Amino acid sequence: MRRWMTRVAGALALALAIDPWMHAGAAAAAGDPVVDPTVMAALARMGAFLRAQGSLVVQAETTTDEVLLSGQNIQLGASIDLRVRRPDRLRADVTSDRKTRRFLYDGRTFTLYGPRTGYYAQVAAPPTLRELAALTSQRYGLELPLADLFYWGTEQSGAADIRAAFDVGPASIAGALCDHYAFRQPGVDWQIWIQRGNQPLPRKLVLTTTDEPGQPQHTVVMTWSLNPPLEDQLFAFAPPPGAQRIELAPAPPPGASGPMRRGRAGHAGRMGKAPTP
Amino acid sequence: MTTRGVVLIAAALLLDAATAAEARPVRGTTRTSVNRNLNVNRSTNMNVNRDVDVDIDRGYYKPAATAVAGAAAVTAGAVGSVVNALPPSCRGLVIDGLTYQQCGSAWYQPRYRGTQVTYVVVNPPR
Repeated sequence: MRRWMTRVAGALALALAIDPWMHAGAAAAAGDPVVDPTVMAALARMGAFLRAQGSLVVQAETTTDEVLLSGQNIQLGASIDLRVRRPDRLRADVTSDRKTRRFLYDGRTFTLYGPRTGYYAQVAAPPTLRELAALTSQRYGLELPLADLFYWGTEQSGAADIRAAFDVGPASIAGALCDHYAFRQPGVDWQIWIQRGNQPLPRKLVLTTTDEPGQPQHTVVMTWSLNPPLEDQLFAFAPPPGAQRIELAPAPPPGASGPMRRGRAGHAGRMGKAPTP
Repeated sequence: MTTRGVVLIAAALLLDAATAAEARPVRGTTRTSVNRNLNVNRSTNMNVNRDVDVDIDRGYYKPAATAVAGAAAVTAGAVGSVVNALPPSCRGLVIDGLTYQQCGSAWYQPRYRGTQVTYVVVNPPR
């Protein structure tokens, strides 16, 4: 049905020839995947620019759809204050409607801290941010906030997964003129708004999870500060009085069931049930 | 039912009135990054953590009456099992450097699974 509709929409767009830049979009929508090399080049340029920044501060407002088992989507918001100093310092303060978390990395140790619970966990960390991102996701099933920022411009960026890429057209994000690009890859359709000019920064990101019912979305709107001074102490963790150290549990192996699983094994059996006490 | 039990239930009611939020199981499969294909599923089947000392990590809009029923259903399971929420009226303790939550006769060790605090049922440490 959706396919039929997009085909009709694509045909209409072509017939009407709305705008020169719409043609690429219509072709992609017609089920004929096209990876526009100029779009891929824009993505690579953004990645290279990000890699070249010695330090940066990103303030992000995010929304994430949570799909209830009834099928209803609920949108939850969060604010992220991310401070990065290459190659080996990171601090992220995440405040959502439901929880607050601080991520700290000083080149040797990674700390996850919940200011409201007082619980913190620490693990030994590798010497670079990129390795840290890989470690936390693979060993602990823990995604660093705005994790994509650590992959763009690297060989791990997953550009090979992209099946369709086109230029949607110009757009304004918080007053900044941007180019709006759309991508498809297995499991996720995504859109990015890259600032025009000599600072090609991602200003907005929208992910649509396409292999789940309800197609939940995750949106991120980013405000940037480049090369701010960031002192060492920002990235250090000294347990506040009353803080209690707890374990950071390793991610279960793929296919394992439990409160956190990878993949979709065992999915159906757990739907609608409270956690087994 | 003991007097103490009655007091605890009353406390739970007050807590629920204050938080006005309750467990809503979610699929937890919304992707938040493009570049990894790990598809790390965050915890599904979340229960709200109703102890105010613990983060209310995921609570959804449910009448308080059913919330209390849900709370009562959270009981300690086999040692080693993991729950996403504690029953009402727990106290945090540090014994021999390890962090515990004692909820009546049940003991738990909190730990992070991803960014989510979960609780492992453990034997009483003493």
